[in-house]
Amino acid sequence: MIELQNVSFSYDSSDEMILNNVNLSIKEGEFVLLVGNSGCGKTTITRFLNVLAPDFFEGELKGTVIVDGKNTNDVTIQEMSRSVGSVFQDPRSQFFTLDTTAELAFSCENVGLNRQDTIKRVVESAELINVTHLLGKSVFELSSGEKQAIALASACAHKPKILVLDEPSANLDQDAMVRLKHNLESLKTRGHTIVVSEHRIHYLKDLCDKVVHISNGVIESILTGDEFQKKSNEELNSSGLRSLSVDGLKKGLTQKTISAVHLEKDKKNLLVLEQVDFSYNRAEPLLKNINLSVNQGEIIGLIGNNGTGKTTLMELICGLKKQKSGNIYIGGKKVKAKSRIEQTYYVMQDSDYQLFTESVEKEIFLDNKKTESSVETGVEILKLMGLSDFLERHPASLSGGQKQRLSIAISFMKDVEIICFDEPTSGLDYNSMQRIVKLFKRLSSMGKGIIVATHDLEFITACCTAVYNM
Amino acid sequence: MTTNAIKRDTTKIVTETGSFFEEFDPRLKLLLVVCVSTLTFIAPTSKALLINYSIIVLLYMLSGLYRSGVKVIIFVSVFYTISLWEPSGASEWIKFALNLIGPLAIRIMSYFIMGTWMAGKMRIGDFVSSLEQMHIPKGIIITVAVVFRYLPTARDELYYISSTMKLRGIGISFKNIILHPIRTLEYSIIPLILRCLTIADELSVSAMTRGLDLETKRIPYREVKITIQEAVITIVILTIVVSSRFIT
Repeated sequence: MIELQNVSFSYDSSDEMILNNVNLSIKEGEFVLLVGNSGCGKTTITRFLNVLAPDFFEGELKGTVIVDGKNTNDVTIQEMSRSVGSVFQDPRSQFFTLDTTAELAFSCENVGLNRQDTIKRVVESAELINVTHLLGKSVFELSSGEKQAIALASACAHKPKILVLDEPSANLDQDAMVRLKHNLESLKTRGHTIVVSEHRIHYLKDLCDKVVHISNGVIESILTGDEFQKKSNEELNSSGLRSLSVDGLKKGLTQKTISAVHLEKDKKNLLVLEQVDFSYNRAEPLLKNINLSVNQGEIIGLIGNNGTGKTTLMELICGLKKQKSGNIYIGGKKVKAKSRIEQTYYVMQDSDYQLFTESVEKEIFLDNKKTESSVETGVEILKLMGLSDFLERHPASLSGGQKQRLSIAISFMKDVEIICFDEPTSGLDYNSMQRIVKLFKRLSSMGKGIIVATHDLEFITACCTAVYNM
Repeated sequence: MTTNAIKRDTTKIVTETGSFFEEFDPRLKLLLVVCVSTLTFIAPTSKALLINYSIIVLLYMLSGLYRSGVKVIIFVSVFYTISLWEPSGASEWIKFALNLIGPLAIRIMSYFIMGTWMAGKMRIGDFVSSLEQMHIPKGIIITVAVVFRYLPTARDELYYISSTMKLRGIGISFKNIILHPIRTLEYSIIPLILRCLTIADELSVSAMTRGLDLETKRIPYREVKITIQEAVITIVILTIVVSSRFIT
């Protein structure tokens, strides 16, 4: 079904070869997982299948790529879309229309199916992916998980033989990940050939027929599903891969429900939230009677599904929103939203909004006085984040993971005691995640209080000192 | 329920049609937007201006956009009052300025208000198919569709950007605008542009891998055609708006 013969590739934007002499063959109906570090070339392989590389992401392709009997040199992205359906990382920007039904019909309309057939396919696809209850809704009303499900239903509505998914779980919570797994299972049963490139691999472990480990542009190993399942976390971690079994939290780290916290107020507490309420409209409040205290050096993990108010809680703490009632204390003093903005820092999930200048170096020192010690810290922190080689680069030219690490590094330069992070590890590989764990531990040893909202259990286990369920 | 019954149900949801104005042909909507707002903009008398706005409010109400309709009424009342207001003791200049600002704001806003009306209850798919029927080049159609797709998210994008600016001490505040006007502008616009580029890229990738191209003919799953009722309503509205110019 898919054949890569001696394939090498380099993007026009860089001099390095991203893939070197890769040979891979995938049979009809196989479920193939591509794993490896960020920048190893696994996304590029998915781009060969839908012809995005070299047609959209331009570069030089050597060797032959044959997908569904067609040489990709001879077909356009649009022609290939008949055989290959694609799902991408960010569920927000995959929608071309504004309502879900039209979205599902989109690929069928473009392929040129007649009206009756399109409607039949839309119904079939909605039922297979269990999204019938979402039909006819505006795409802006959906949660990330629902958006990703619609994107998947849309990609397979015209029944392409092959489905390609590039990090589909990056923005999903635990429940949505389980649902994604079930959906992929149904698609596999229907006979689709499925290729997934992914960092968080534990949810896919019993679906894979073949696992391809790519490292620095070459195929390091190809395992069968059974061989892969037998791998221990240590073995995988040592080759830079995420853990395979993430069965809850490690011992000693208990998970508390945030609404049941008994507040122990103490002058020494860095941050205290006392009976904080918040609602977006007159309807049911999103946050009700929240009590929380954070001590120096604590790393608090907030978990829970999307839409439970994790982000809102952090926006409240950082003063971007005002609480409806209740008090927030920093260092024993009651502080209003306006001064909370100055005394805290918040790293958003999406780094695109957080970078303002024309070089990595300027970004790090933006609005920080350049003193000898601050330059030293800046250089050191960029090294810790693996960004020292990019000082002069424009932030926009960095990869997604690099941008994310840069926006996290900036928080280190801020002279504040409380820092909130929203999903700092989404879409990061094992090594990058470890870098962030190290940074968090540094911040904590400096006596700062950290609050982090995340779906990443592996990350929580690696660094959090307390976990609250929203 | 048997599987067949479920299937029929889903099919019903998929083929369901919306209210009359939701289904109103996008071409006629576009015609209304262009004509009504232009005629409002160049309305010769206050009377004509108010008649045109009554029509606009009526369109909002008929489409079920009650809240926004009320907002339009409030907006027009406020600015119309400003134009009538003659504060005692104020200089001629201030009176002149008040007289100018009120009507000007009302006139210019007519484009935005009508545009919002059209975007409020419109299916992008219908819009694309109806423009295709008018033989407008596909490149233009796709651009317009992407703009409509992007606009609703622009407010959120701006919120995120201004939040980070605040946190990094470069917020859009009076102090920063006065002391560092260019820097503040730069910092608010750069992330917006970068974001637009990312979104534009991701949207095109998603559309292309689902077969949208410039050559093949799409077959829309919904039928788009102008009904007699729709045509009559459009003609009536246009007649009122045009004849309002001649009422003295």
